Amino acid sequence: MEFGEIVSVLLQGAIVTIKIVAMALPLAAAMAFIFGLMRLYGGFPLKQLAVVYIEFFRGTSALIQLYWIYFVLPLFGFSIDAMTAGVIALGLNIGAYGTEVVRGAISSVPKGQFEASIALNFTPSQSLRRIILPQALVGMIPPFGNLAIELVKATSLVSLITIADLTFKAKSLADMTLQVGEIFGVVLLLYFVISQCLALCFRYLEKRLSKGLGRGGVK
Amino acid sequence: MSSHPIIEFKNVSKRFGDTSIFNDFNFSVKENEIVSIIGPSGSGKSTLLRILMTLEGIDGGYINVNGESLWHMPWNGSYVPASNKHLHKMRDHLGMVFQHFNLFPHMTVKRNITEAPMRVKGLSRSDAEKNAEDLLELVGLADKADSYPNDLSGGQKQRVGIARALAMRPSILLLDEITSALDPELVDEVLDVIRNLAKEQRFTMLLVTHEMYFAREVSDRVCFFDQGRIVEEGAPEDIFTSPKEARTKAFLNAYLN
Repeated sequence: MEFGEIVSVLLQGAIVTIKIVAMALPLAAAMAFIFGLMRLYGGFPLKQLAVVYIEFFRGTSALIQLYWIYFVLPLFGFSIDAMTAGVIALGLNIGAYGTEVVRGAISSVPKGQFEASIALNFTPSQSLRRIILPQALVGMIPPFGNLAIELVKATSLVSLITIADLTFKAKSLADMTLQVGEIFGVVLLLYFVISQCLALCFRYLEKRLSKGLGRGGVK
Repeated sequence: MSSHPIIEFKNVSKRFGDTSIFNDFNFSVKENEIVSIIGPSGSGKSTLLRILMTLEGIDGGYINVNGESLWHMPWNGSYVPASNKHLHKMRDHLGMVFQHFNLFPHMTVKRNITEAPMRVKGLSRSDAEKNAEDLLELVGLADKADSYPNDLSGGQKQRVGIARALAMRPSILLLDEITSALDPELVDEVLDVIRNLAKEQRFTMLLVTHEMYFAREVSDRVCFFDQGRIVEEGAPEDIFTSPKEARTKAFLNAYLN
């Protein structure tokens, strides 16, 4: 097979991979914030729920979680297509790690900031939104960047539930042509490029958010 | 000066774990009075201010601010622990300046001062900004409105801290060792701001300080604290020139000589 042809097939797979990342990443971020805030500020039942979520999704295999959502849930009457199953499984899995990032970053905002917010009579939600989170976000960005890259790599799992992502295309091309060197070389490069683009985005975000804070930010 | 007590502690007790900070503690401050609290570290001076600012709860007794209970509220004919709503209402009377400034580092100086008046008191942006400009003028930092706190010196940060607290127009201002974190040469610029405020006597001030000469100069009354008790209190002249208690004498000797 021509090298150009290989690249074009793999690029199709890369687009599917990017799509999954683009959908799973916001889901993971939403889960991280919702459960992170629940873990910190929720009443007893909400806190426990957050702990169960975190420990379950961190403590079991992402592949098995994916199989559950795609193969087992339909047995209970919840059928979802492969793409949705992939996005949900990866979003929930990475989101569980993100929850701890959110919690850690909020906890690391100096106590004096919380006290000044009380002294100025901000309500708890105003204080969180306007004072605490803007400072905590800066600290969340680097570990979130790591998780985003983890997510990119974890997307290869979806090839096992019939989604024609980058890994899936690579394997079928390799089976067909046996040109493993070229194919897996290009695949490595494509994953690397996707990850680097994300890393750049996160570095930019960090720089933007750290304005005035005198910490964080890559100079 | 009115004689109506604006702050009243009645039989207040406060513990941190096994350590008792206050036990059956009584204390009151009159409206527009300026009271300095001096004493050794760990004597409960800062805790007193933090309790008033609702940063620390109490374990017993009552505190009245402006005639209303701070940590309790009337409910079905008796008093129950205050709800968040009640605390929110009571905090309206109080403002605090912190030892470590606690400015919001992600906001400009101007926004540090306008944020709470706008979000909490519902002032319009233009009113809040006008107010902030006046206050920055008052503390001598009119040219720093657009700077970020981390670009200011300690003394400048603390003057912003004072402006930020004043912007909420509290009737009681709590000053918690506001010069303790400053280099010695920056102390005076901050104290000057308080001196000017004190001259006008527009509100009640409660200050915890280690600046004895300053306490003597601005206060109507000085209280010497030790181990959660007011060992001695009175007019600054009396406390500083002829203290009666041995503990006060020893403390002042150590500080002034």
